[in-house]
Amino acid sequence: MQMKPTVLVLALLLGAAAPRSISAQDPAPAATPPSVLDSLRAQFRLPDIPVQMQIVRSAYGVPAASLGSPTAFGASRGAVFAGAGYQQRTRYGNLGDGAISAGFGIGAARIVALEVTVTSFSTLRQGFGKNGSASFKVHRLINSRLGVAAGYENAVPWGGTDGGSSLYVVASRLIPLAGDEGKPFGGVGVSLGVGNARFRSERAVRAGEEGVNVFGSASVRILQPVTLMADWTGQDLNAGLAFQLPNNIPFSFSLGFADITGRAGDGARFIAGGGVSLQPF
Amino acid sequence: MNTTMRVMLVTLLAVTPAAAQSNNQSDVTGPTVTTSDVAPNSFTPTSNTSTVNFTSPGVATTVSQNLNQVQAQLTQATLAPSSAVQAAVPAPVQNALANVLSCSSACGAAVQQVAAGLSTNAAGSAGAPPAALAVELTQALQGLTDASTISNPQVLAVQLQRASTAFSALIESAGESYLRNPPPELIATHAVLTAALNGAAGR
Repeated sequence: MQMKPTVLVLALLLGAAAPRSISAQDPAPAATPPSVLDSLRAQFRLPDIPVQMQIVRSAYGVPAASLGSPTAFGASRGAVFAGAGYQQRTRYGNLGDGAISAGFGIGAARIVALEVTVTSFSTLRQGFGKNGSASFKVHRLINSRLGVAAGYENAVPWGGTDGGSSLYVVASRLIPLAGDEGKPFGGVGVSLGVGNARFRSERAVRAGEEGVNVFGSASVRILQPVTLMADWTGQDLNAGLAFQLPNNIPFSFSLGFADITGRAGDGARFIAGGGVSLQPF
Repeated sequence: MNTTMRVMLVTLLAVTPAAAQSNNQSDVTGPTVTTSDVAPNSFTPTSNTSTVNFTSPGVATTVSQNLNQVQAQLTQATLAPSSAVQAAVPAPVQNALANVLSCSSACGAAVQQVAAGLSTNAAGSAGAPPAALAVELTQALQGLTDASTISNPQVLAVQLQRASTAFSALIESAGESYLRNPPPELIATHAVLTAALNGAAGR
């Protein structure tokens, strides 16, 4: 069939003008244009709140407290501390004995840090500073739950100290048990180390045998501010409680008994210690 | 050898050696005084938590004062709507919101009342946000002006942030008909949150 040119042109024009089928992309006739909704929502817009994110160090976590042997955690850059230790009577003795100490840290614990502690073993009877020592602990945080350290206790003694100098290495591990690690029984901290000199057994000390011995401690939070701890120093089994004050007050202290099994001495002895720690720099 | 010397010699030979302190390391049998372990747990790592707080103490003070003023206005039903939304808020709605803001315990009825008001407007529920968002917003407002919240800047910042986020989520989910005829609970809530931040940005 032949179509006249005029009809053909009309057909093409009609085809071009035919309405397109409605595609899925076309807006629904009843929808509110976005600009209207935006302007309606804009009238309810609130001013920005002047807040900022803060990283807060939890006051309580899995404890790693000890009562006679060192742990692998220590002071690092900008941290200072001071404390005192006391035993109600010395082993085989009747007189009380005390010591005070102060120290600081340098370096970053995530890389390597050094803790320096100066201790006066003489206090009230002999006078402060007459007998004392400087001790060092190099420590590193492998991660937030594992630390390792090597220390030289009483590395630089003066006067006449009873303790001698000891070398040790120790690792401390924080093991979470529950969701909130700062809650009671939220985790256990354990430390295990090897050292010579004062870490030897009483028998080895008496026999004059050199060598090394194992020491370690374990602690668990039983109330939020209270930690129960047991400590094997290599000679003594010590046990007691550590207390932390609320509201991030940087003072903690411990109360307990040394040699609770009577293995290395003449019976259990009351011991106590405590100190402050600050991060002023 | 005189008698005294003889007695001394016999005594020295006969006596059992006493345990010297140095044999038992007595200087180190208590808490460890040669490391920071003397202060237990001082340097034990703890987990860090992130939180929000106001950018300065001045901001916290301003927001606290604003909220105290807002609470008083709601209680007296004199709260003015924000400048962007010019509509009066009935006294019962202001009082209901005051109850939510000052409530610290057993707030279920007050929360439900305001949440129900937020979930609908005069035209019904067309375009209304999901009821869950209304409840979330009302719960975020609960206790915002309570003394324990206002007196603790960090708690106040967290709750104000939560309320602001919940309010914005509700607005974003609302439709045209709801926003054109907002319920008085929404207007009042907007006025409260706006007034709370009045003058705080520049502090």
